[in-house]
Amino acid sequence: MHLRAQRGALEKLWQQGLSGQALLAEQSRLVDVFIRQHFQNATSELTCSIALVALGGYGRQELFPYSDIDLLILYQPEQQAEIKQVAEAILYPLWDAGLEVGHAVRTIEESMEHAGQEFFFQVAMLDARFLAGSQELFDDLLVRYRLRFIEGGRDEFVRSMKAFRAVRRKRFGSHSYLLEPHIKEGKGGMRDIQAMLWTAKVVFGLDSLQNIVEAGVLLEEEREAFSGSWNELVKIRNRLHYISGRKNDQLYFEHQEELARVFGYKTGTGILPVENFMRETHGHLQTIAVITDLFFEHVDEVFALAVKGERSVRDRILEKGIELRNNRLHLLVSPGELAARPYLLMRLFLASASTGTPVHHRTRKIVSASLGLIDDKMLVSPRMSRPFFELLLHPATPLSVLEVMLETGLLAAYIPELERISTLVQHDIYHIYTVDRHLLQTVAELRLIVEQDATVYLSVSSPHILYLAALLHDIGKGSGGNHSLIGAEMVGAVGARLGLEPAERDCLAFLVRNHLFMPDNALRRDLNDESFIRRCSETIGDSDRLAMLYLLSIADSRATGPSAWSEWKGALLQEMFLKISPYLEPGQIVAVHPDAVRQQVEQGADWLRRQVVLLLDAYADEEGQDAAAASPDGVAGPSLAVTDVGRLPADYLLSFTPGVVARHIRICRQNYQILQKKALIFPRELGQHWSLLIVARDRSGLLAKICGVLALHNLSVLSAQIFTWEGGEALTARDGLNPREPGVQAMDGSVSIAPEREKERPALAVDVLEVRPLDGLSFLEMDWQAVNDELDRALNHRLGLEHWIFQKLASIQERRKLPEAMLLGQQSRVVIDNDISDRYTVIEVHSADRAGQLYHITQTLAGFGVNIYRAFIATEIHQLIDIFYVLDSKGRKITDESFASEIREGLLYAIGRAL
Amino acid sequence: MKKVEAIIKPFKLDDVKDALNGIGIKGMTISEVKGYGRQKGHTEIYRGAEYVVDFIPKIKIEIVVDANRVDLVVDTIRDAANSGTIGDGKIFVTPVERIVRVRTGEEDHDAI
Repeated sequence: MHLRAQRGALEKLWQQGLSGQALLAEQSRLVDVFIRQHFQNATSELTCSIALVALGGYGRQELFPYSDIDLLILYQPEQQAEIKQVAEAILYPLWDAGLEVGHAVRTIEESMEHAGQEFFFQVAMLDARFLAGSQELFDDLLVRYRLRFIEGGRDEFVRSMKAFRAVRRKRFGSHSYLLEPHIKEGKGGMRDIQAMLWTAKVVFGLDSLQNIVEAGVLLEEEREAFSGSWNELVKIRNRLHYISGRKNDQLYFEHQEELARVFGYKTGTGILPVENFMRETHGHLQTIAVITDLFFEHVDEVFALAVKGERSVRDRILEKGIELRNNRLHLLVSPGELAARPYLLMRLFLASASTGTPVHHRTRKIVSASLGLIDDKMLVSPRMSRPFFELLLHPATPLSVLEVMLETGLLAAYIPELERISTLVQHDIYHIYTVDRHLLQTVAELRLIVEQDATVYLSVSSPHILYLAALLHDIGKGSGGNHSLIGAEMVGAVGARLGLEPAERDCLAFLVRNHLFMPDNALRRDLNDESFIRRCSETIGDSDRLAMLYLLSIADSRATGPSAWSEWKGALLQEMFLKISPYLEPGQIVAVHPDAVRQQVEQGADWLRRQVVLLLDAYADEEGQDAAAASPDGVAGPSLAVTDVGRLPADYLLSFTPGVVARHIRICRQNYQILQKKALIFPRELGQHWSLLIVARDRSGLLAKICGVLALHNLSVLSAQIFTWEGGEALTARDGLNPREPGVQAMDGSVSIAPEREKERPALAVDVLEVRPLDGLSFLEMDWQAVNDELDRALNHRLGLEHWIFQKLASIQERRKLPEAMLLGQQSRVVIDNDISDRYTVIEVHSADRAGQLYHITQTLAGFGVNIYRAFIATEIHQLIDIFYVLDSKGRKITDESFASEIREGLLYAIGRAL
Repeated sequence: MKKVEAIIKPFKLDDVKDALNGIGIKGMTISEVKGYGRQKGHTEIYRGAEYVVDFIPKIKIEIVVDANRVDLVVDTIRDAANSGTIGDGKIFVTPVERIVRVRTGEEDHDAI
């Protein structure tokens, strides 16, 4: 016998068109012949006391090319002596032929005992088939097996089968198997088919698919779909064994392409042959999974297994036609009633989401059979769209509800555009879910993100658009071309049917079109590039869209697969979001539409004010009268806090956390008397840099003096935020929140304030500067008191900053021996720009980085009466780039060209003269 | 033989890869890493909520080359990864004692 040669013949049969189950039967027939022959040669006189039994797949005559051949050699106990020789005579040739043999040599007694211990053997016995030897012995075994394991143990059998099924689903449902499905053990694979057939046999005594249909457990259409998919999976697994040259049941990447070629798949529009092949394969697995799921739910019901261990929900009628019974939702309406109210189909799933109960399997079949009711009229009916949005947004909607909507076909019936991407695959290791699953997963991820970080979500004004975008963002896939653009075209129609306003449809299309914008750019662009970030903010347009895009990007990435998401990428996305956000944030320095957003600023600022007041109250409670004693006029309690906080400018509030604001206020209150005469510096160590809070009576040239003093103490300024708290009556008035328009008016007057305006009580300058030590001193080594004293002397015109800085510069240059040429080589440049910001003139100064440079620049600006509202100072290698947001002494932008040119010349002179 | 290990900004990866390809370096190991140095972490504020960024995302590239190519490789990476701002990264060069190609068992120079 040449089994190998015969397998070669099988290969020929396959090429001639024999495939699927017929090939399996032929394969096992060949093995049967081979084994019988060897058995007869070995046991001519013993045939009455030995039986050969085929088990498992071989028993079912479904032998795949490299499947194990499960063989039981059954013998009477008195043959103990001879059995070894017989077993060898049968098994050796099989091994020599290169077959994998799962063999067992047992008596009936031993077999029964083993089946009791080993569920898999018990199951394998279900497919037992007599091969050769004593028929009588075989029949004996079967009778005893049935009596013990079937008649008496149906409950137990179903329980074990379900438990193994759950374990298998979990194990082979992991990410790698989504990409490279396991045809045998995976969800919807061969094992699911067998589990159903075994269970039908044991539980209902139904031993074929046809019998199952006749018993009414499956519908005829289901059987057709099931058989079709089963046969396709058999074909695939058969080929897979040949191609792999071994017992391999997982569709690895490389095999997918080859199988697509072998089965003759063609390239579709924008879809690879392998993607078409995999799409159909996923479709078959899906068919098997859905039908076997329905079957097992039916079994659960028969054995009342489902209710045990589940939280029990009170039976009730949720609305006319939708009832909750035994923890399952039922649609109890006549076909006529359903035709009159097809939206019940949608309401059913809303009920499933809101009660957290699954839809009964028979009702799922009703849904699938009633999809024809979702006609053109229903597609645009608010009776459909209302429950649809409600369930999409419902915080309790689990992924499973959406999955069942997809599996029953309702989702694609309601949004026909989804049909195009059903079980669509992308042949790469990146996208692990089929496109339709990925969309559902995105919705689920979005819900998680919203739970974890509510801050961003709270600022989204129309959450339903965000959720709809999550569900539809990849709808343009599978037709070639740029799926974001195609999708954006398509969602307009979907939005119109669902009754969205034009503005909402625009927003939806925007999100779909740009859903890759942030992930694409966060990794590839320099997020410290101001102009890039500014362009992003222009593309996105407003903070609402930014927040939605950000949340959608995270949800999309997380739902794509493990290689598309990592904390690392998350950090970059977050950085990009936080960088763009200030440009779009109402009330911030670069407000895009100042008038339109003013109201929002006030709301946001008022909310922050309340947070600050709460914090201050908490401190006041802790400190009791201390706080009152320290406050200027001895009045304690919230009323003071409220008036105080009510005066704070909006842009200031938006720049710090309420905690920091509260700290500033307490510092100012506690030191109120001192601040009338002196400036105060409050340094804090923040890792490698230090943050200085500097509070002083506001006056002209304050920032310049601060910069000068810091330079003398070898502190390099990294950034400066400059604010003015209105003085005068601010600290005594007791009117309510927000006494006058903040944000705009409260911001005028900063570093240098027109003196006549603040005669009674001068305004306070509250500046926060981030600094870095240049001389390597540690935070504790710094003599902060000296810095503070020096600042006071400078402010009281008792310190000649000019000559001190000149001397310092000279000594540094001597010490470092920096060649003059090196400094001269640096290009000095001053750019005055009125386009970047609507409210401010932006002055950019590029110069050599030298001690005191910032002092010269700020001093010059003060000389022109120019007020600085914000400063960003970046130091590159020997190059200083300072960016100032300024207004002139009357609070206007510097638009007069001759004045601008005067400032430019003045600055160039200031930064160049010390050389 | 030397190992060159470079920590760079993520958006510079393509530039560095292209530049290295340009001098004939075809193989490298790339990993996503986080850390901080002079470019310290920081706190960002969004609508009153504080977002602490304590580690900054970076890309690590590892290449093993013959000692006589090290300077060229280092210079190439430095030029391509430089944006002139804080946080551009660092390059480390360390000696490599032995290399084995797993599949063939080739050693050292042949295995690079």
